Amino acid sequence: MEAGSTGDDASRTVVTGSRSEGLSVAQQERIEHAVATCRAQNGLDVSVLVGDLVLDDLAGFRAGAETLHAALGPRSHSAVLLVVAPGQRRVEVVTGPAARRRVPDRVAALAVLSMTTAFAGGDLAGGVLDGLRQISQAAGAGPAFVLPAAGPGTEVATHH
Amino acid sequence: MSRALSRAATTGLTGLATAAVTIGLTVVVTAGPAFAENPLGNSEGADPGKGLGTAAALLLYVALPLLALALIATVVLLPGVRAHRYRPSKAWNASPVWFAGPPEPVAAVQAAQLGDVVRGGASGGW
Repeated sequence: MEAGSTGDDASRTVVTGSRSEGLSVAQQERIEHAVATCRAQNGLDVSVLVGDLVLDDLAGFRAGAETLHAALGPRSHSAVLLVVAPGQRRVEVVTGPAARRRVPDRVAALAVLSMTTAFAGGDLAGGVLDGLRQISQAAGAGPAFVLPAAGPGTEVATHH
Repeated sequence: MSRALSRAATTGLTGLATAAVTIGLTVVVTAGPAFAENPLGNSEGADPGKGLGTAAALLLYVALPLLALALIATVVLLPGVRAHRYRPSKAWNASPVWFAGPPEPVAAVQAAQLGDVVRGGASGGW
């Protein structure tokens, strides 16, 4: 399972058919900030992937999202992963066993509901921020979590 | 037949004449005060001053509007300035972005082991 890299960099102005723009720099910064705030104030290891998955069948979306969650490595046990596939119009919240105690499935479902509402209205970044807010509020306060290695907001396509 | 026609013509002409006289009289009568002598001296407009000049007129009425047009068009069409809007009906071609993901995402995904772990969460679509 691999996160797909089917398009050009969002900052490049290559127009091919009905190309949609990616998240703007400001939107990416807002999401990055929300993720960092959740780590610092709630002590919850949250990760967000915005992009379509390379899948033969959309029925395998949940499995693909779980693979991505597993890719977080040792972190995954207490990590929450949000997978937002704008083109496939699917969103998935995956929680590790320890994270599930702080973010129950009921909370994840509520976050998904508010995210899909925003996404359907065309508000991608706003929906992600809404979902993050709900998840971090449910998790409550906790000791700050420090990300092990570099890289919030990694462009997947730049790594080969 | 021809009498009815001429009567209609006469009526139309009379109406036209009446309208012309009324409008003419109204203009002349209402414009009267403008010709009145002003005991306080010249009022505004009496001394029009220097003309605008061709170059200044072109600048004011052609160049400046074109400049404003160009400015607004630039702001609207510039890719960085225009609001990024996601349209659910359109395909998503932007490269994926992983916030707080693994340092080497592709390698990490290829090496990912699902393991014997029960994961929770929720799914949704729109």
